[in-house]
Amino acid sequence: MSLEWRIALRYFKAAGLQSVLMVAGVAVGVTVFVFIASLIGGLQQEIIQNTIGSISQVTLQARDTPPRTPQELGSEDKPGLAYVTRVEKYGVLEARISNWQPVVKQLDNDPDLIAVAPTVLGAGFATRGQLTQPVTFHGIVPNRENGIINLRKDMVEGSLNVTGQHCVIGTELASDLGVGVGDKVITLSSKNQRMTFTVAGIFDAGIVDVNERSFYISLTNAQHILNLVGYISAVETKLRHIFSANLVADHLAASTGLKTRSWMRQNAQLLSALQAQSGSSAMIEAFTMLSVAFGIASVLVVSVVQRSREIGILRSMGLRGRSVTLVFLYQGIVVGAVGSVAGSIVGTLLIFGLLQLPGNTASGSHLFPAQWQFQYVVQASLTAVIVCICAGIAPARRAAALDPTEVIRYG
Amino acid sequence: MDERSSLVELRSVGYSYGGRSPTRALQDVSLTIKPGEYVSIVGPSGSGKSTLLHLIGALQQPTEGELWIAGASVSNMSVEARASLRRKVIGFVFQFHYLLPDFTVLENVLMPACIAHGKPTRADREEAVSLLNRVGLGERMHYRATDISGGQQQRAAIARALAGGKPLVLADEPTGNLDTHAGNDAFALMREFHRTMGVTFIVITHNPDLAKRCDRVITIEDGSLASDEVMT
Repeated sequence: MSLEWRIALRYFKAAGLQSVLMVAGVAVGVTVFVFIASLIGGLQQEIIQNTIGSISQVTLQARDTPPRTPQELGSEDKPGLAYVTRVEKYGVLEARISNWQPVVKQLDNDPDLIAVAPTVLGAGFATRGQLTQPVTFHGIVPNRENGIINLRKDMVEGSLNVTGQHCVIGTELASDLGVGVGDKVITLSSKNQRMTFTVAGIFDAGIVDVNERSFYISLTNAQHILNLVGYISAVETKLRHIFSANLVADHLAASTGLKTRSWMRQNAQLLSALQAQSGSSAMIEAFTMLSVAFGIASVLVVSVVQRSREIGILRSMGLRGRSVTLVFLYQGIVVGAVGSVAGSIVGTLLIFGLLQLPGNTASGSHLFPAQWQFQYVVQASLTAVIVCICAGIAPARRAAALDPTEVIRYG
Repeated sequence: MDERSSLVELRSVGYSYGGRSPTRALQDVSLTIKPGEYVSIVGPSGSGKSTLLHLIGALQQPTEGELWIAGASVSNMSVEARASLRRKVIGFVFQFHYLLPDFTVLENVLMPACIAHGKPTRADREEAVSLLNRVGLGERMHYRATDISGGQQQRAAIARALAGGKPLVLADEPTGNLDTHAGNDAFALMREFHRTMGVTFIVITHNPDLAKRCDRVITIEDGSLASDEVMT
């Protein structure tokens, strides 16, 4: 261990109450940092889980086709004859992607994506006896779709089985039609195709509109009743990093040639709210650390004054100015490290204590949706140590600038 | 006089401090101290003795004249070069012991070695233990510096000044803070190290009896060299 470290540790130990106060200051700062980060992080995670978590985060669709020329339409190009064309934009339910299997295969290998699900969408009606309800058909591959929405988790009755002539519907639709698992439902698509399905499962997504409208069937059946054999409507994806949606969407648009929709562009208000939350959290953390820095700097300045005689003697023995600086910077590091450990422990205990408080028993959620992550502890500790080093710079420079003759002469 | 054969050489050295209206603390001092001398500097309070000692100790630079220590010109040395010179050549003993209170007696004596090369070697330890035995603190070397008496603290400070085989020890009123008995002990100890190790001592003292026990007495008055007397 270097001389500077030995002196710094000895000073830290000998300073007693001063050291305890500095460590306590850092510990409080780190505790606040870990606590706020966990709380805001957990809150955001819950919001994301309840909103973005149950939808496709980047959706790929067919591009709008350019207007076809008269020649393409097979019309005659006669002089004096003008043609007027209008671009009809595809709605989500009308867009279709051909030759989609290579696209899905390509997306399966994309490191930014954790789930890829081809889907066929279309409108229609579901009838049971005299009751008819408008529905949206979702043609899915269950294992893939489950990666996007986690339908299995939402099942309240039956199972996620869309093989053969089976379907899965929401609780509201089941209630409106008066059906349960094993009952038959007749469907009529917007393309005037009829098909009868047996209810294999009923889910509750927690959103009335979804429970009322969604009608899950196999991809093949959906293609058949919606006249989309060989096509799909969209490819849904889930991202490894949810906030990289815009970047990933642009990159997928370029690499597949399809049109992409990012959740961030579709939900600007939600994104802005999340960013405001993150900003507030960062501000609280920054001001906490700033106050910690001022506290430590002032205590270290006092320490320099108290130690000035010893510093003068060490300088008279030939101790380099750089070494004097290092002694006080190392003291800052020691304070930062010990305070970080203490603050991390207290902050972590506080979060786990809060998680023990009873919350919403129906949903199983906590009163405070805090989410502790080791990364918060690492961030808080690193920030605290850096803050402590910075706080030590001014006192350290002051110590290094001490004139040994003044100290020796006047004590 | 050739500065290469002398340990300390001052040529018309002066020192002024303060900015616009500087105060002259020392003027036109020329003297030479050879290796192995035992010199006392005497003079009334405020005469410039301590300033002279700080210059010879390379803690300050002369504002006039030239100063050589161990063959090196101090007049134009950087702060860090002077620190390096002090590490190698000069040991200090002050009126107050100025031991580091959070370290043991042994650690204090090892401090110059730590400053010089980071970590003390086995030879450094052996030397420090030997010095502490010689100053009668062998039994208390592991005590904290604050846990021994004033006389013992000053003896530890003498051992620290000698650690690292420094050829020059500067002592500023080394007995001024001690009772007569402890003061005599400390002075006798320095005399003993001078005799056995050949170390050059320059001692500031107000005590005329102690001054007379030195080989040479330099008197400073009003910032000037008043007399330079070799004792017989």
